[in-house]
Amino acid sequence: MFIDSAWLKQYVSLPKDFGLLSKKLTQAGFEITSLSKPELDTTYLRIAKIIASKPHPNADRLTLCQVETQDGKFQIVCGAKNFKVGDHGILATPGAVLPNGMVIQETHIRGEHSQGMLCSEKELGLKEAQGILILSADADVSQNVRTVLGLEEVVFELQVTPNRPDAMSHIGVAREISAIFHKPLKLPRPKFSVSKGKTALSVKVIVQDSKKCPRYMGCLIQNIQIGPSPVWLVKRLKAVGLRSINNVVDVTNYVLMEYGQPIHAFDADRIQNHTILVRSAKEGETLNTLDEQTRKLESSDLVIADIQGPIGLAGMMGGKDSEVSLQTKNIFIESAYFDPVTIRKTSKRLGLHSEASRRFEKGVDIEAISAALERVTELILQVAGGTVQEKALDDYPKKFKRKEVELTQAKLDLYLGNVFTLAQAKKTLETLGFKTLQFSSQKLRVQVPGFRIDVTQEVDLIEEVARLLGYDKIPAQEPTGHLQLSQKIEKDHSLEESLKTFLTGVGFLEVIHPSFCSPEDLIKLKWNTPTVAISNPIGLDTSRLRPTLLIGLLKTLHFNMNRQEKDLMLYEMRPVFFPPQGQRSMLTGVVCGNRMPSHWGEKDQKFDFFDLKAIVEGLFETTKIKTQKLKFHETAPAYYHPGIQGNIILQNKFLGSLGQLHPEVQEAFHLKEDVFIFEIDIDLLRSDLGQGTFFKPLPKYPFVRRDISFLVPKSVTHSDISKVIWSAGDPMITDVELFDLYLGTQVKSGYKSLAYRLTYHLLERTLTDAEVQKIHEQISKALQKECNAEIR
Amino acid sequence: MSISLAEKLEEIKLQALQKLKSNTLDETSIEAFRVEYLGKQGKLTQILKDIGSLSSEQRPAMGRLANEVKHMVAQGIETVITELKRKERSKNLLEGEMDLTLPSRARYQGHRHLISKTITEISHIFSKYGFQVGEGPEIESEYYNFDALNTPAFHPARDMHDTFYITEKTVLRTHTSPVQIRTMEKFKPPLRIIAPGTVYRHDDDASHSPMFHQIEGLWVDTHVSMGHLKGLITAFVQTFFSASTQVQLRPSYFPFTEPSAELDIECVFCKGKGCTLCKQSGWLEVAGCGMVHPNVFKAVHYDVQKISGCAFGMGIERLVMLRHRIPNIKLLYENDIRFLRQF
Repeated sequence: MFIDSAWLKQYVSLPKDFGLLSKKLTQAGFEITSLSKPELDTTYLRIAKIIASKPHPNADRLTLCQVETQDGKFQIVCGAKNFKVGDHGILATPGAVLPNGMVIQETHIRGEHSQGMLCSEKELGLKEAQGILILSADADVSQNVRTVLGLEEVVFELQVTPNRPDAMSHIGVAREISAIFHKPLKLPRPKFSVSKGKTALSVKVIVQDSKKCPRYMGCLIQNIQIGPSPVWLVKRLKAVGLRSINNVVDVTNYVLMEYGQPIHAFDADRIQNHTILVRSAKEGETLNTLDEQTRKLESSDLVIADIQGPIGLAGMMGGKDSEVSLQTKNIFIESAYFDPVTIRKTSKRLGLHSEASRRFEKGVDIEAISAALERVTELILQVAGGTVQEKALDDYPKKFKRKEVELTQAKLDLYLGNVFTLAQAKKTLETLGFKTLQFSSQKLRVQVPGFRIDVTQEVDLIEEVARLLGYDKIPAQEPTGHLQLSQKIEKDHSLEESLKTFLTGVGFLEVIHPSFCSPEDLIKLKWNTPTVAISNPIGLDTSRLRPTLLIGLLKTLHFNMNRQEKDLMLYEMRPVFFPPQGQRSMLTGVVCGNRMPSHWGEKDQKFDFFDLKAIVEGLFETTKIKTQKLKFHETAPAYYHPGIQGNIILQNKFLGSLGQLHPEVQEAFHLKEDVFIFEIDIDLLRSDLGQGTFFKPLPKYPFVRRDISFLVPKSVTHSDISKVIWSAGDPMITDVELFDLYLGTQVKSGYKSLAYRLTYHLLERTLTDAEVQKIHEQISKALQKECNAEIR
Repeated sequence: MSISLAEKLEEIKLQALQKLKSNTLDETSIEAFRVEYLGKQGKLTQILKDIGSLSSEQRPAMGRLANEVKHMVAQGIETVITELKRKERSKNLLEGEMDLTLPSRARYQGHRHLISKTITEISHIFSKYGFQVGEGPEIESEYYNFDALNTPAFHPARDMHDTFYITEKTVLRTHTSPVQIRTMEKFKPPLRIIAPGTVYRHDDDASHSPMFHQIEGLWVDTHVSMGHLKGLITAFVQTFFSASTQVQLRPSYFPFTEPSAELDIECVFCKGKGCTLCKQSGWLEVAGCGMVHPNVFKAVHYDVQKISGCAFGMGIERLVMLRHRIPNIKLLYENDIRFLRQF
């Protein structure tokens, strides 16, 4: 909220150094977030009295002025017309540099000597205004320019935390400052007289729901004169960002900013039967509020109504019909306490947030309602005239009981370390308005002032003490204490770490994308299962939670390709989401472009499926899952290339997929390079990890290698062949390596030529030639029989 | 006769050794030299033959002498050949010299994302202080995200977080604090946890990202005070930033802590002197913290009479941006590889 230092000074004296005030407020929990301080170099500015003026002899639109300052008399050529002899203005003398950059020099204008410039407010950087600035009639050339221009005052924005509605006013802030600096607090003492005599008019109030409205005060002021507000009032409101409307409304706003108590003024003659009902709204009732919106009400809302219907939305905004207008003669002033939750519910539902609702929903000071009402009454009588003929009415059936809270030395020590005594606590709390009820060296019992609704228990007192005595007084302590090694809270994330380490090692960049995607992205990806929708998204493009990491990755490929980066290896390991509210951890990688950075000694080669497969196998290798156990088959999701894709299967269990991105999807995401992708479900993979790895004896005896080459029909896969070799070669075969594959015209049509290098080995002894020969022949026969191989 | 044979032998020896040391022998002449002395018709071979004609008394001594000379010469030849080979090889090595300034056969260099790397780093730092990592889901119930954290429905503090709703009762978690509740529900005090994680706020402008990361800390024991909290966070900050980084606590408000504080570190840009980035204050806000509110303990059925605790929450992006001087949060999620490769 905005605080005007000039206004604040009415209630408490401020330190001269604003920096100190700012620092101390911050240390007490009130951060100053912005400060508007008129920055103006006044070294060459003087208050000048215009003592004579005549037309410029050579220019119709200019005037020749004689002015007097504390330094003497000067002649000035002036272009403005809005002054008369005797007025005071601000003279910029030679040497002045104005905020707009204008440098003032002694000069001749159309042949006449000019020794400076009479400034407009715009030229002084104060505000937009035509003509020179005319100071008030009581100005004097001997006065300080800064004081006259109000440059010593500042308006600052104070960040008030939601627990401190009591500080959402000038008096509230003054109260804090008074406690911080130990300065007395000067509160207004409203004075006005209640006119004697018979009253023609009287307003009756019936509070039907005292739960939602525990206290309602009102006061009728008759025969007022609606009109513009006096300058001081306009100035105060303007400083804190409020527009002047008329004298009555301005006073209610002034008191709001002064006490923090929202006040509403009704046109008393618009209240039917002069009877106000404070009641719950009826379902479907409507109210046209001051902002000219028709509000549809529900039974949970609280309204101020007359016999015909609602005339105000309690604690939020008045109704248009009962608004104070230029014709208003009699007004009814409302000062009340409304239940915070009721106000908040309605305010949230209607999206209606006003200065009033912002305070009521946090809780105003139920005890200060009368003081605020008196203050409003005093000021209205002052600025709008009128008479008060009755004492204010006060519907307050159940008097607020101030809370009593206890603080012990033991708890104070536990929370703040052994630094503060109860005696210090007592003194501090008293400066904040708490009343000591009971005090011993071990226990302090205080009564909480009505305005401190946030203080309800011991820890709240502890904070008050710490806040005022200074958090900096609490010494840092070594974090000693109990370990909790027997409680295994932490889950093992070594899997994620090792996968990331592997991917970093092979050249992948890790990326992180926001978890959102758009329905359009999903269509582009051919995604066809349900996703999680956000009910209040920022925009359509971020309205879903991503069911796959691929969307972000593909967009990032595009983003980087647009920046001339075409060789990309990216991965993301983060959660994806699925309905209704599930999440699982996925690892998704994409590669495209050249498989290695260009080199002068080699030809560039593009990534292909087999690079991808090697990466995936490597990933599983780091998790100690043997690649032979993995199978790549079945149908991967629709965004994969139908011919180059497969699911990753471990013992009939799905762990993920790999393949080339479907060319249509590639096109939809505007990608110029072929993209290869892999996706691994980390949560599924984790559940498949074994208990650990155990040592196997190293081979002592040499192995034997034999090559075998043959033709097979094209439809026979490497997988078919190796399966045959492994089973026919058992237990001597230990490695099967394909070292040549030929599909060209040299072999008969429908066939391909393959050459394998087979490794035979036994752990317990050296193999004999005859044994190897025998097993090699077995394999050869098996290949002929099961794969239609023609051995070469 | 024997005298002359001995003299002859001595002469051959001198000749041979002189020649071997002369440095004039090359690959072909050394072979010729060998033949000249040790070949079938060689000078020394001849001498050995001549010894056969000596008397049996003279033969052994002369034979020994001749063999010594033969051995000496043979060794000399070996030395010369070795030296010739060495020279030849060094000559070859020099001829094979390459332009070593040619570009390397580079590989792509992988990089972790700054955020994930920093989460790992911070978790490591706190694990040294005995903190275990706690976890919770990103789609969270209102209960864990707000209610159990002393922020019931219609509490004004709910305005502190702009929340994404999935349903009326489920949200994208707005902070990592729900992990406090989830962990305390399952485990008994004393405990120390940190919970790094992704959080969401309905906020998207130049300095906010609707998704960002926090790291939550919770320490519950029988004796924990604000002083311990200060000591703990100071230790962390001085590890993460620099050993001389100053720390201050400033009163603030969070519904789930009381007393509450903002944690400021000495401005990393101006070292506390005051600059535009710290708004001349010399301090930068990096975390919210405080003593766990008794109502939070009550929600998880901890005995508020027996324990106390402190908690803190830090924005990871903020820490990362300050430490690495990153001017704009958007750079972290744009995934420009030129950015990613810098860290």
